[in-house]
Amino acid sequence: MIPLPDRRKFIASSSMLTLGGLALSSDTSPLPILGKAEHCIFIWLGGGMSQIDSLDPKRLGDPKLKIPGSYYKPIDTSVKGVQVSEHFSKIAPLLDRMTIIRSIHHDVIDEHAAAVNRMHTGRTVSGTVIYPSIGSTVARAIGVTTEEAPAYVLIGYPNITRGPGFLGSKYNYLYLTDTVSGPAGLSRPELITATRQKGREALLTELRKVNKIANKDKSIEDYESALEQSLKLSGPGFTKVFNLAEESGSLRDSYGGEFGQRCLLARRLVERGVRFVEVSHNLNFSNGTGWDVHNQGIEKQHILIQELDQAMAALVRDLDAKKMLEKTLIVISTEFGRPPEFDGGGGRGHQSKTFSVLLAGAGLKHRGAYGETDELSKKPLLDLVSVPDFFATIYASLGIDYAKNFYDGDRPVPLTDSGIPLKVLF
Amino acid sequence: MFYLFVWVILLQISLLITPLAAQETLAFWHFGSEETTRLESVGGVHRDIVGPRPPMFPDFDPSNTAVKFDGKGSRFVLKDPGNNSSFDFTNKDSITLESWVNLPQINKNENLYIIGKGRTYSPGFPKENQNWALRVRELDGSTRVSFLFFSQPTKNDKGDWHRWTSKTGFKAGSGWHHLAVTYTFGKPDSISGWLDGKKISGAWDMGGPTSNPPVNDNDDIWIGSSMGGSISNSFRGSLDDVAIHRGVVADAILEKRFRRVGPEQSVVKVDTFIAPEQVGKNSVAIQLYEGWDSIDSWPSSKQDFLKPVISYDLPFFAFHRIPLRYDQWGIRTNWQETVVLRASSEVIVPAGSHEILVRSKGAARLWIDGKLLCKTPNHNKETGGHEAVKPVPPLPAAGARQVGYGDHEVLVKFAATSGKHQFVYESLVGGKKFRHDTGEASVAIRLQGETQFKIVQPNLINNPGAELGNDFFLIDSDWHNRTLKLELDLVSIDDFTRRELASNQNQYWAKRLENSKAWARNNPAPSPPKATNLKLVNNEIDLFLAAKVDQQLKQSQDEVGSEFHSKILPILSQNCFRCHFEKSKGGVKLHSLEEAVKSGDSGKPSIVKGAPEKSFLIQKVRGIATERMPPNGKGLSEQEIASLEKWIKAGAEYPSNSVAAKNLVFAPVLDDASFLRRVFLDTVGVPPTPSEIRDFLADKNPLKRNVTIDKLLADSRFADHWVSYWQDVLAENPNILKPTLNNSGPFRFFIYEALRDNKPMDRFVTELILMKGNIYLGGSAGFALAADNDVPMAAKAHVLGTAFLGVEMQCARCHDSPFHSTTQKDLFQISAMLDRKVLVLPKSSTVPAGFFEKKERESLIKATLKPNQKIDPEWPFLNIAKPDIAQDWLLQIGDHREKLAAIITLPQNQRFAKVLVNRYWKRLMGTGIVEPAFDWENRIASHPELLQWLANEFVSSGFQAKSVIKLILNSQAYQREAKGNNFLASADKRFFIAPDHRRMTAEQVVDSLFAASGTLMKVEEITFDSDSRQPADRMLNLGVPKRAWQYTSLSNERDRPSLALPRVQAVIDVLEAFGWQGARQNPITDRETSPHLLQPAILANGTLSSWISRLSNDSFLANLAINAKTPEELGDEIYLRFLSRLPSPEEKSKLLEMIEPGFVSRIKTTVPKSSFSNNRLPRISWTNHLVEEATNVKLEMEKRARMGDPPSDRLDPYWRERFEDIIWALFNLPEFVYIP
Repeated sequence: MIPLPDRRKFIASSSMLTLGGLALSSDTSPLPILGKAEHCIFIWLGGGMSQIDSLDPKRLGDPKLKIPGSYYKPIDTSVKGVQVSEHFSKIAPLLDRMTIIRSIHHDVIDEHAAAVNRMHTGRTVSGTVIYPSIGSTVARAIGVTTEEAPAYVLIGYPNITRGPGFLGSKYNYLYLTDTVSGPAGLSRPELITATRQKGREALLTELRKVNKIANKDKSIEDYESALEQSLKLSGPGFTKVFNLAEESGSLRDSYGGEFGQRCLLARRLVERGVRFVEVSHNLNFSNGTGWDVHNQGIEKQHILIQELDQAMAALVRDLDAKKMLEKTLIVISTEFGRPPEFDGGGGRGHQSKTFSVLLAGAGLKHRGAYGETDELSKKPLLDLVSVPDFFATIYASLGIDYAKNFYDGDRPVPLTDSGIPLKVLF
Repeated sequence: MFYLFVWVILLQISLLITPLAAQETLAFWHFGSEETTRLESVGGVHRDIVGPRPPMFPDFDPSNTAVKFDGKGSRFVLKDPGNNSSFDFTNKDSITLESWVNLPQINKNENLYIIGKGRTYSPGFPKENQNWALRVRELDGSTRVSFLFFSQPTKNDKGDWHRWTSKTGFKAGSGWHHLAVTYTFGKPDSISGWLDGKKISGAWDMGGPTSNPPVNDNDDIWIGSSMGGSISNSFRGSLDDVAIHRGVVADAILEKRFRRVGPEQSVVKVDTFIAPEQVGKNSVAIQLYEGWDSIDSWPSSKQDFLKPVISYDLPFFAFHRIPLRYDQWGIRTNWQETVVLRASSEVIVPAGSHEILVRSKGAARLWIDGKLLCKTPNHNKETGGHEAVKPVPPLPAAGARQVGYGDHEVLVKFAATSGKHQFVYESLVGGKKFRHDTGEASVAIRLQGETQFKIVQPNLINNPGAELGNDFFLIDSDWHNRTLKLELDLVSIDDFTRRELASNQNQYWAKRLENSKAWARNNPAPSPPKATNLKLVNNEIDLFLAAKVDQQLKQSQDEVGSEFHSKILPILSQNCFRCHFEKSKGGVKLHSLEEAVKSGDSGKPSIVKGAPEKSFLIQKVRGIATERMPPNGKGLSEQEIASLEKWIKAGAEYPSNSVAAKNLVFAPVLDDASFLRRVFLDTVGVPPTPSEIRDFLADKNPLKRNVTIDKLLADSRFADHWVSYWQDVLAENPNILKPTLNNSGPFRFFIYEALRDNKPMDRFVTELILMKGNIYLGGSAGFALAADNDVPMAAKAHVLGTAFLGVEMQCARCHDSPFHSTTQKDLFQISAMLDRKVLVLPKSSTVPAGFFEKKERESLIKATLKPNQKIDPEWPFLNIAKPDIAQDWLLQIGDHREKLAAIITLPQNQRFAKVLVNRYWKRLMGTGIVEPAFDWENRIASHPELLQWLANEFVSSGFQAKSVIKLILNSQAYQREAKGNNFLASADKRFFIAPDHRRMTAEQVVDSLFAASGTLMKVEEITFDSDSRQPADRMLNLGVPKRAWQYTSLSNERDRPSLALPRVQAVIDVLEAFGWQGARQNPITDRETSPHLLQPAILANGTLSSWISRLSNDSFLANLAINAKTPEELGDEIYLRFLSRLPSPEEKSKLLEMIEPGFVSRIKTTVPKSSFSNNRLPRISWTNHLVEEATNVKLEMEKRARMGDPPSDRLDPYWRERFEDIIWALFNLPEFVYIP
């Protein structure tokens, strides 16, 4: 029998080979552009925000007469020549601290899930690799800022697209679906009082002490230390962050309703050291369809825009007041946009040839808007931004080398598909 | 009265007819019962259907028959005789086409073919070659007569469609009509239509009038269909007397063609009672008919009820589902079109004026004694999600069960005389665009004077002999409990049907079994080595393991020239180390000299170098000082003691070894309780019940472990436990919404049933590869799907490689593998075999252009295939198996997919059997003999001979997984304490002296929580379409899960609160924390098992944990607490339930501290309320999820899910809370989630 090297060691040495041979190693490319932000608040507008009704306004249309165009009037902003919809009146004066990217584009329109996946992973679906979400990528690339807080928190519904892919569950999110109930697993069940929880934990500790588990090996020890850690994170120390009542009434009001409160919570999480917070604006109480404004869904679209406007303006001002705006990147993103034409019910279909996303904060050189579309926002004309470029810009803002590789087993996987950050912002 | 033309004669005649001849009848088909029409029939053409007959149609024979087409492309085909045949028409030629039609139904704007020449889409013909055609066409609610041809292209004109449609028509469903068209080509004004003997006007409404000639070629004449069998152009109904004439048939003749006595058949459908062939006597007899093509009309003739697909009996008029439909392989497929369910029984009813409540999802009718009592409305078609949220429906009686979501209910009075009444319930179940869900179809009755409805059963009079409590009331708890029982009946029906159908293939598989056995005989594995110590051996497996350890010890002896490893260490390890190694009973450790010379609790050193007589060890083994060691058995032999003395005298050296001595000591065998917990978890996936543990502990049979193993292997829950393993390995990845992101179909059901039926693995894998049955309903065809994937079969080839061949081809998808010998071509050759055709490499599966240019150094990866290169279907792995082994075993020669299945699964491919036995070994022992189990290239086996021996046993059993699993479970190797460290050891240093310590899988955690606590898995149905209004290819319904494997990712990529399934999510939160992946985009062999904080966190604080530890009124644990006689009994019971052992004295005293105070007064005397909530919410599904209210309802549901059932009001709250806290603590102990 020929003795072989230990299996683990063998794998490790194979990976070393990979680094040398396969990687797009940075020593052959120009130095990466790197920003200094430490956190990211990623606001997700599920359903596909209509750019022509919000961040890329054009001439007015008429849904009844089926004349293509914007649903709302445009207004001026603090950046000369850049206009937004009238329902963005609160961010309009702050637009010099933001950049709307109006020329982002991809090719998925017919299926939300696939487009959501594209705008969370920056990739087309692969037959062989499950790509990590942007949140997991950030968590893996720069990790936690403190042991007292998780790296990646999601305020929205769990799904595969927001998950860690091949990076493994260590880089998964903690999630909560609203600001009241706290994160699944870390917040005390509703019927359990704090006193009772304390009693339970004491009982568990005592039973663990007398528990003669036959085989207390490394795996049990690891599990026990995970247990200790979870008790710590579910204890009052960290869960305090979810208590929005600690903030002043006027600040809470300035953020607005449930979506605003989520943004406020995101700020608190970031303050506590969380790296990446995805905040979903999926509050479909007002129009049922959320941002997916087919047919009658469009009639109350302005309410969604106003909610977003209020929360975003409050978030920017609040972070600024706390001197955190420079080190926090705020992103507003969505799976695709919508065409200028109206559908049978006066709403809009899907369009991915061009749509708008927004960046704010992070000490970037903001310019109000980047990229230009044609007269009805149907096609991008100038400064086209691909999805990989958009992702590279986010990673670069956070000081992450967007050109480096992760490894799925033996296989090198670059952080983006050759994305290049928007140099003008740095 | 009519001429009968047979087409052979026609052929001869046609050659004689000149184009200028006067009117000639070219063909006239009467479809008589005796007629031997030389028409070739394709698909569902039914002869001997009742045609137009007297007295309504006096010109016909009383026994006149017609022909019926199923409308799915079925047709008669008449071959064109060739060039210049009589069926060729050009300008100045006249044609008359006529037919009798009986068309029950036509959709808006449909064009259905009666007869036409050309446009068959046959190879060699253009798609625009309509020579001529007679059709019916729906327009503005009436069915018109229509004529169609395509004009011949010329130099200046590329030709065009020309369609004439009559201005008037008839109503579909109004019985037999006669229609005809006459036309002289080249003269657009010459056209005339005929309907029921009257000339009718019309217009050229497409392509306009033309004087151009028609296309004229040798394409075939089709009756009943066109366009390759296009379903929306195929005739769905009956035809009679179809004729083709050359020339214009005279008006006088066409006028006389139609003679009817009385008015036309009314379109308003009359409900006709068709007496069932079989009526249940003491049961409800059910017959299911498939292929009915309507969801809003009823069959009205006896012929529609000729052959039920299945008949069965149930005790009640309650139909929570219909049996599953299986194909000829016993694999799940879909019911065709709409299923008509008929249920009948002679019901004994007391006299009185009663009320009857009929429920159904699709349309339903109830007949009593042949009279229609009531009907429910038709099933609603799908909508876009904007339907209003319906208010909570009123209850038919206080406390009654609410009507099912999307179901209809009708309440009627029923005045009955005492005695037998024949009840016949019919329902239209599902349809072409709907799943075949029955909802909560049922017939219930409220007898005069009673307050509650009960489900109708054959005897509604309470006679003294009747079993007490036999009534099935229409209340939530009864519906829940009774349908659980009915489900068992249906499962046994499904089992029976499936196994019957699967036996169609048994002959082939019997031969394969013989072949496997013969191969195993002719290729024997190495015989197991001889035992050196029988105490370490249960079966052959242990012999192989011991041999490797002995070999290692002998090597050590050679190396260090010591008898220690061969003689002394075995004595110490087998007799002493159990207590004096890691543990130190009596303060004594014996595993090193350093420890052994120390004094233990006795104050005497165990070993005094050079002085055996002074060594306490010797005194103990001789039994000189106090009690003898080892305490059990006969003690050491004189010879063994002599060896020890000699060794101590010589200095008691512990010579080092290349393998540390402790790594060569077999771990002790597990105690009975731990063994039982482990073996239950490994076979049925849940821990044993307290009574199972007590029985096992009390059992004196020395073979009780073997007996238990046999019992567990025969338990049907074995399938529930093992299905999830194959879901991972085979990347089963269904989505309940439209497939995307590499989704497959839900072939979990195929896997589950294969396990349930003990399908041999060669057959299982063959059927998987052949992809049979329905994609969306659980057939192995679901494996074929890989949504959003540019080469689905390449994804499948990758899965098959890792699952069954130990070949990892992940990298080969886009380029040759850098660390393996596999090339991209290998992967695509297998993909091409799966696809049964030459594959073209898409650009998207290649390395992007420019990648190699960027490199300064030579790249590790090579792409030997170029985009758009063609790859032939061929077996690439000649080092694993030769492709010619398959040649004698193919049912269809030349089928590449079948060939691939055979090459993989035949015993000559030894890799297959070895990979599988290694997988079983790994799942049970924690580490494979070969690691990684999915990637064998350049790996060696830790025990090559054992591997070969197991593989041979597997092959000779006919690839029965359980034969190998049984061998492993019975081995001492498996039954030892889990102290192994095999996973990190390299193959040569892997000895399996103990199994690895394994954490429970996610599924085991969840299933154990429910099983141990007795909590019901009350979660939502896993679907977004609970009102069954979407086709299966858009939305799946995976049902209400009972076990963890039945869950799937909820994939709410749309992020809509209205699509949340909060109770399902609560379980998924736990599953995901413990390493389960609901979306398996890639195959998984090794799950992540490393502990992280979300695991203990979700068990401590998750919603599911609240449910498990909550003592609600319906909860099992509440009943346990109420019925317990003493606190001790209760404490024992919950330790047995959650940890499969009794509490230690320390644990017990802690328990009693909590349970004893207030135990006597814990029970309160209030009348308990049921946990089935009366506070009802409106229902949300895809149909209405886009309206505002849907979000609010779902948020309320989420809140309720988090709260769980209200705590029991039967128990004192302070005592209850303490007991709940103990339960909580028990499943939060690390011990709970680790397999002993």
